Amino acid sequence: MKKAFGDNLIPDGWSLEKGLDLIKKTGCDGVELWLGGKPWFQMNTSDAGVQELLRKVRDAGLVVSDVCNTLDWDENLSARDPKLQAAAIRHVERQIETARMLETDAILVVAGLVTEEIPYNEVYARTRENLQRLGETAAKAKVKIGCENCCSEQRFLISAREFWQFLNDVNHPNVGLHMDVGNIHDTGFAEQWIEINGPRITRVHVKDVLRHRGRCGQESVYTNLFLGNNNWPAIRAALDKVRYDGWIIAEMEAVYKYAPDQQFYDTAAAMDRFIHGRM
Amino acid sequence: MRFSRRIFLGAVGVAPAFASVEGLQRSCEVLDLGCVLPESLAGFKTQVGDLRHGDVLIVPAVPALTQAGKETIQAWLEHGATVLLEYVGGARVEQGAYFPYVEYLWPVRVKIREFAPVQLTPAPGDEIIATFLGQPVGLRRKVGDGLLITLGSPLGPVFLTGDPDARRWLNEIAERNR
Repeated sequence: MKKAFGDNLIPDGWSLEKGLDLIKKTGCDGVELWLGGKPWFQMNTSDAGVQELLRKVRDAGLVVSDVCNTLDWDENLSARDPKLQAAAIRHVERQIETARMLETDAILVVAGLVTEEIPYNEVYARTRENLQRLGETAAKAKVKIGCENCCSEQRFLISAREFWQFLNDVNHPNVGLHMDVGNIHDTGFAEQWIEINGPRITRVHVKDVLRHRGRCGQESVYTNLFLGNNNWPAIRAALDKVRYDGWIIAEMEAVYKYAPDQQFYDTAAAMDRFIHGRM
Repeated sequence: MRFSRRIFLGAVGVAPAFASVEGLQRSCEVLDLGCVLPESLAGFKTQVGDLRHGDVLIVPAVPALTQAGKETIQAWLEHGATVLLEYVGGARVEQGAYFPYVEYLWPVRVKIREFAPVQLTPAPGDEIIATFLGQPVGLRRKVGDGLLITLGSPLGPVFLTGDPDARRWLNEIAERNR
């Protein structure tokens, strides 16, 4: 297994180079780049700009683990508005294009957002159809689309079995699950998600979750590895069971009030222990 | 009476040979010899169609065996068969934080969901083939030309959830006795 951090954890005001240097110092192998997140990677970043990104990543001694986006929450594949839907398709296509340029083979999308106005069945059908089309684009680029399980934020595909059925319905080898073990909250267990969807997992996000906080209130449900309610030995064993040997990527909220770089070191050390089963 | 493997093996050792051994055909059978877990029986029955080439007797989820049951098992073993006995009568393996998998070490290394595993105590001649949290929950021993496999964590229910590793493990058992 290899470990990475998302560039979205790089503190505001830091340069990409400074962030990459820190990630390298923690002993990580790669960085996950978020389209639409930081100033250095936006929809208007040119191909030359993307090449420059790759150069900086290489200069830091890292590789790109995958390409995510922060845009799905505003323009989703399930949107009713044709303009928003087209924008969503465009940014996913851009992820696929840049994944190739950045020499990685996976992207992350948050596919489908159920709202009060756009009901579940409508979201299901539209998301499935768009993913089938994008799966073809991804296949040509030799890239896999990993749909992240954002469960309660999406109000869509809440259970492991539901997600499995959805991927069956999409039925495209280039569309799978970008598994976030911290996103299950109190509606299930990450290890069971892994077991049920195993062969379709494209990447794994790690963070811990404080289940008792539910989704209410102002306190975050997320925390650093080993501080929450995830059963980490079970999760590690489940990854072993489904023979997942790919990227483990820290995707978490910046929770350190002081010395934000310390969160990187602490998380990298925890990821090491997780990978080696020393828990 | 608490049923231990040592007691069981002693019992089958003195049991009279099963009268109709010669009538046994090469087959895979699931026999209810006092099964207390219908799911296990049902799970194994979904698999026997794929295991016709083996010479395997599967005895799902028994807390104890009757004399007739012991004699049946003895007959299969003397015939050179593999007997897979699920024993559910012992003390549960204790655990603090929950852990989901039994580690099978033989005939293939796989992780399969636990199902309320009971700890088995190896007797001389037993080899540990599966562990749960480091405790033995699967044993094998040669008995004449046959092979007795005892599992403390029922495997049958897992077939109903479609775990390919469980199918692989059982197939390997059957293949070895082809």
